[in-house]
This record gives sequence, C-alpha cells and structure tokens, in this order.
Amino acid sequence: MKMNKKLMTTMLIPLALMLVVAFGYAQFTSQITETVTATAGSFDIEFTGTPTITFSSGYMTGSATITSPTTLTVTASNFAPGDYATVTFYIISTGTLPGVLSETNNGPSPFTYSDNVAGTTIGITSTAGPFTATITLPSGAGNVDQGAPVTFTVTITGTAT
Amino acid sequence: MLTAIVFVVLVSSGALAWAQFTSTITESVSASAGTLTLIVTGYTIVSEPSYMTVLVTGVGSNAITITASPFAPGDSVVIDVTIKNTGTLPATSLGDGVSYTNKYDSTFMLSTGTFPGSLASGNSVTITQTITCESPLPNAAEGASMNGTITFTGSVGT
Repeated sequence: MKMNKKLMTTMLIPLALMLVVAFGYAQFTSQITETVTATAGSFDIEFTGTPTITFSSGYMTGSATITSPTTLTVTASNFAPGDYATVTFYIISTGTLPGVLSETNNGPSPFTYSDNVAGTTIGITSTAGPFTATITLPSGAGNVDQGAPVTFTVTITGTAT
Repeated sequence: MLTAIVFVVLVSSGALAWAQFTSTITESVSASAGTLTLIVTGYTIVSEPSYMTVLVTGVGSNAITITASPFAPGDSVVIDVTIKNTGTLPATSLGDGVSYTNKYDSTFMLSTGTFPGSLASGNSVTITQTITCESPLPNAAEGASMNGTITFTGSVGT
C-alpha cells in the first residue's frame, strides 16, 4: 500500500508539471483580423441626349425618340426606292466598368439597316457617339414593295471589358 | 492528365467571366415604303361633231376606254382627261406613250398633250387628247376603225 502511494506520487508530479507548462503556453496570445470587402463592378448602358433623324427626300417623315432609357424608337415612312433615313444618337455608360459595344438586328427586309456602333469602346460613366444609323429602301425595290411596312429591332449589347 | 484538367478549368472560368457583365439596349425601328398611284379621276369632252357619240369608261381606275363614232373625214374629238396622283409619293418622272392601229391605212391619228415632268402626291393634271380622222379619205375608208392606247407612267426613286 505504501509502495503504491509512493508510485502514485511519483506519477502525479510530472503530470502537474506538464499542466503548469501547458497553461503557461496558453497565456500569451495575440491575433489580428483582416476584414475584406470586395464589390463587383457594374456595367450598364443607356441611350442619352436627343436623337435626330434626317431624310434623303423632302416627302419622307418620321421621328426618333428615347421612349425609355434602354429603348430608342424610330419611325420613318414614305420611302421611295433609293431613299434613306439617318438617325443620330448617343449611348452613355452608367456603370463602374468600361465596355465594348456590339449590334445585331433581326432583318428589316426589304429595307436595309446599318450603323457604326459595333466595336466602339465606352469608358466609365462616359458618353459615346454620335452614332449614325441608316435605314435604306434599296434602289432594287419594286412595285411589290409599295407601302411595305416593316418593324424591326436593333439590339445593342455592351460587354464589360 | 493533370495539365489537361487545369487547362479545362482555366478555360471554363475564363468563359464564365466573359459572359458575366453585359448590358443591352434596343432600337425599335418602324419603316414603311410609300406608294405611287396614278388614276384617271375625270374627263371633259371639249369638242366633238354634233352627230358623234363619245363614250368614256374606266374613270376612277388607271385605264380608261374612249369610244367615238361616227367620224367624217376631217372630224376630230378633243377630250381633257384629269389624272391624279393618289399615292403618298410624288411622281418625279412622268412620261406618256401613244400607240394605235388603224384598220385602214392611216385613217385616224391619236395624239396627247405634254405630260408634266412631275406630279406631287394628291395633285392632279389635265391632259388634252385629240382623235382626228384624216382628210381627204377615199370611200374605201368608210367604216374604218382605230384601236389606240395612251399610257401614262409615273415613277419615283432611283
């Protein structure tokens, strides 16, 4: 019994020493915190300014109006073969990123459409333009095209670069 | 193998990044061609022999028919025909042509006044037309007839 007590004491002393050392290790600590805030940029384009429309012949009529920030509505009528209407407009970038513009349209036959938007780089919160769009009734149009009404959509897409 | 996987991952992440930030605006365009339509809206018989009957049909269309008889040698009928541009476009180039076929030599002659160079939308022009029976004529020309056509053409555009 006495032997066991002595053995027990011998084992407890190192354990107590280890605990002391361990607590000693945990006592002195320090930490720093790095708070990171990251925000994605935005890229938005809109029509801006006052668009204009001109005609190749005096008997033609029409208008170009920004009906919402993202919609430019153009009407042009009374084309004869070879006549064309020219629309001038501006695009503004309201986001925080620069971008490049591209254009597609869904086919205005028998009319043709062209503009100089594609490939234009637009800076941050800056205005690009004036852009020129031309709507033409080709000289090859015949009597079958008399009075032909056409509605088509031109989609201008800006892609952040 | 590992290189290939890394390449695919890089390409995929690159493609996603490319498609992420876009903005679209639209230009809505309505365009319409005009029309050019010439029709005969009326006529006036200016002069004719008292024994002659003149019948004009087709008013309101782009083709009229004039039937006149009987002619004696030297007779003539003068008719003013009114032509209107009912289209939305001006006729910037106008022309006319006369063709006729006599069933006996050159018994009859059909002529028309000068068509103006242009005719605005909604405007009218009056053209004088004359049908003349030649003189003198032999008895063999009795009962002879003529079929003729006057064509008015307007155009616009290039």
